[in-house]
Amino acid sequence: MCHNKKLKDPIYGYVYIPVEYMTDIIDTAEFQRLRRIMQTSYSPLYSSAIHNRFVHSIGVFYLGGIASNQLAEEIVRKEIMKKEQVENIASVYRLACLLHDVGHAPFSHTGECFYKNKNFQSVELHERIAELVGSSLFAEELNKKEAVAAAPHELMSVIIGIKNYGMFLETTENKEFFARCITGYKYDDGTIEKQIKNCFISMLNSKVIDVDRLDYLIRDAYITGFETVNIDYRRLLNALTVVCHNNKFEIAYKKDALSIIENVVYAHDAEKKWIQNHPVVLYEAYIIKHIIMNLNEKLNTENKRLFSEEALSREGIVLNKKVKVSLLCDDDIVYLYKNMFSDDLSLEYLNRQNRRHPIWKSEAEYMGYIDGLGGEQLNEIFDQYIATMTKGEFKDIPSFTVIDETYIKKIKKELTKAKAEMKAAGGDTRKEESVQNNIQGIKRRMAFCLRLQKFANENNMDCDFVLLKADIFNSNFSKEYLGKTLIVFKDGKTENVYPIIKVCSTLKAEKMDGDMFYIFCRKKKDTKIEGIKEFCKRLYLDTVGA
Amino acid sequence: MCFYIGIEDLAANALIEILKTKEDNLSQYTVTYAELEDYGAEVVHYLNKKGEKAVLILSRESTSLMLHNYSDFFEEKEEGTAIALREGKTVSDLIVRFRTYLAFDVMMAFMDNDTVQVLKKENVS
Repeated sequence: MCHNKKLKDPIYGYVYIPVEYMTDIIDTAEFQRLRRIMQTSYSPLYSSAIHNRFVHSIGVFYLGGIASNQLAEEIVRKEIMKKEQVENIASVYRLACLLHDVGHAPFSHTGECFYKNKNFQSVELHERIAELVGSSLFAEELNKKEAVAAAPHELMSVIIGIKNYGMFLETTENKEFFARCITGYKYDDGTIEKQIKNCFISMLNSKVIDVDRLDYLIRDAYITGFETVNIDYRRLLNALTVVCHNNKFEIAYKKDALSIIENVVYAHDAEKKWIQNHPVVLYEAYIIKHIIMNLNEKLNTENKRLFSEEALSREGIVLNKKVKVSLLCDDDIVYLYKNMFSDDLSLEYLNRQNRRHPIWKSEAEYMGYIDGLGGEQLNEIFDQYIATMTKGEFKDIPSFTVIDETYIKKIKKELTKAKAEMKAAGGDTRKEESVQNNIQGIKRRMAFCLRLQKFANENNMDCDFVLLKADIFNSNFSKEYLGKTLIVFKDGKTENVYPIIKVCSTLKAEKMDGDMFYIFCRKKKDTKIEGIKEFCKRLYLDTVGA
Repeated sequence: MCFYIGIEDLAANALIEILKTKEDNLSQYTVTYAELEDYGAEVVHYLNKKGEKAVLILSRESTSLMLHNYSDFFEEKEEGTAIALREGKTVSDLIVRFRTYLAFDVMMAFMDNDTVQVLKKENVS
């Protein structure tokens, strides 16, 4: 008798879901919330990018089913573990696949940093997980994880997952494994069981290939229309196996998967380089973060926060100004900023006519116009200056410095104050040295801003600029962890295992260091900006020469 | 506008204040993470009094990043509980690298007598 329900997916066809998962997980309000959370922030570039976390979660569950069946089969075939034992592990893993994003924040990755505390730490999230799992050893381990903390949405997904669906996990052991699957916190290699569990963990949370990444790469390309390489996920996942390598059981891929592994890397590189790092997408994220920070300032109190476990629940939470939110999703954020707490930047989100535009539109343009203009010493000065100007963008914290006439006046006042302080230093040589260097820094900022002001005048636009830092693109082919992926060549009954870097010539990409930045301006309608190359040269030379 | 004060700024400025009157063996002097937290709290307090908002970015992640990104300047000592200046680096090096681009008000906060008092008394003149 069939105990499954089926959902139709445009990519995978029918996805079969156990009835109890459908009724007691997917149909619940906490899971249905994911229908109102956009999967990506790509819609400014690709208008069709309106798929949500719900369909992605179903997709990951589907791929997780293929991966877990294949792994379980290989583990039993190689007599590493008994069938019943590995089936329990696979079952928890599949549940983790379904629930891996259940705690995602509104606007997905753009919003998740606001789950952290006011010092941008994950301490409280880890403590809550420890409480829900109920293992003191695991709690001790979590206490040391701040430096390598999982993404905030992963931590929150564990919390929501165990809190609402813990009945499917039953034991402390299963809850811990569930948490580890979603966060990627592997066990210390000890017993064979832990090593096998680590293999499953890496199939949901890995830096190279996992079912989460596979689904979003395939789905994002399909929905947006972005032309990229095809990924034969069936061939890839059916090539999964487990090998004993350096006295430890690890995931490996049979040689049939080699070309697909390369394709996954190409696809990931393409999405990262041409979509995620696109200045229009970066600017959209900047506006959304500003909106959320504004809402947090208005609504959060000492003990109650908009981005919290309580706000994700059905019961919800009552915040400042008697605003209640429950099952927090994109719609709530949009309603709040549109109707209750709007400002110029949030209105810019709604009305694209008035949006700022990037002066240069790609890393390639930046490299052509700015990178390497001067020698090493001048580059270092410029790089340090830009790092400071975009300082607020430490990790996910957005900087909201707008360079306009008000900001320029502020710098002029700063220079006046600094010069006065210099006169008052009264022979304190270290103080004089500090202030003198600071004056030089202020002068560089001034020169940078005045050059922007001149550029605005020349192009008949307001002096109104935003700087956003961006990462220089680094191909995944240059990443050390990709090179360690294991490939199996079968020779009769013998399995010959090699790290992929030994057998695949593609892994020769050079790692690039450094950051870059974009400048966004408010160009007037029908105005074409000209003289960008000369402007960039002047910007660089004015700043380093100040 | 909100000032974001990273652990590297706290560490650098604390060491400047501790070392500014010292001549030799600068790397023997340390500042603990606990002192940096107190120092940071005083800096935020100073800026708040001036009507400015400031946020400290203190986490093990940011500390690991600091030790990685500024490994030429800082090293951990006292079993990972304190920071010291690496041998070969001077107070002037710290000033050039970490005070040139600070907002003026933030620099004054770091140098203020009241904020500096929370650092080890025997090391601060």
